Amino acid sequence: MKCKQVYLHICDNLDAEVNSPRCREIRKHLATCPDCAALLDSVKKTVTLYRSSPSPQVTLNAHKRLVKTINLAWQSRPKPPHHPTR
Amino acid sequence: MTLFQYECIQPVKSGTGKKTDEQLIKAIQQGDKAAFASLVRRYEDTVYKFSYKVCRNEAKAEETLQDTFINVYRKLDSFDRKSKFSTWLYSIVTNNCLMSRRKRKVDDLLESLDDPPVDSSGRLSEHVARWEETPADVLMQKELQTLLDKAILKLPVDYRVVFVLRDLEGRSTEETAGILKITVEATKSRLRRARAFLRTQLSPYMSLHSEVEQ
Repeated sequence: MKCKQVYLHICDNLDAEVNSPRCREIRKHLATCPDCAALLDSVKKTVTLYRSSPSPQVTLNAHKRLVKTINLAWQSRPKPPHHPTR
Repeated sequence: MTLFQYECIQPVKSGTGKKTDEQLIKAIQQGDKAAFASLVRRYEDTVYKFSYKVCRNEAKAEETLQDTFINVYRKLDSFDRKSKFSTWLYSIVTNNCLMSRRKRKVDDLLESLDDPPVDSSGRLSEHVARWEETPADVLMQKELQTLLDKAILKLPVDYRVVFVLRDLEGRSTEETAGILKITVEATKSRLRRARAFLRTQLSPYMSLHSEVEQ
């Protein structure tokens, strides 16, 4: 297996089943190719960095503005047809 | 066992005391305003965080949050229930994030990342710098946070949404393809290029950082 195949596989299948036959080949290559091993490590760390990066929650003010917008939209909603009881 | 485990959004199941998405949608379609409020409460953080991860800006994330729920409100009657509600919701918020997309020169650079430099024997011809630091240890640094924001904002939004859906939200390749209405192959290609691009952007900092520490 060549480095390019490993490179494409690493970037395509970071979350693939690690016990598949293809992954066994990849692991074999990684064990003997320090550059590909470093590449895999750095791609995984890239994803980990972004996954660990904090993202803010909806603030109370943003929530209130959203509720206000939705209330306005709801008021302009067409009323269901009225069927008077006989 | 996989290399990464994700914390996916788990839909509410029947029998838990809470109304399922389907029950809420049915109630909304019959004019139950409180049901819509419950649906908003259930998903507002998901929509806001997803939007923030794509645009890295709180004001834009709030704008997308508002637009998304207005669209949900307007289109809910046409929701055919063939897909999960969360998938349908992601397709709406993603569309809102993609509204301002534009093709940039960086697209060419991304395509070049499919061909790593290899020598005649097929081995990588460039030395791949080692990333010695544990990412979580350095994440607290504001400098790195700024770098992460800058790097992801350089990615065209079409690639960015694939990276966020797949790697940060834990959506499957097939679901991501469905949300974006692109092929599975195109999804894989965009993810590969996005990961490689971001890695390349961060590499100088991560490698330099290790050398400084040594």
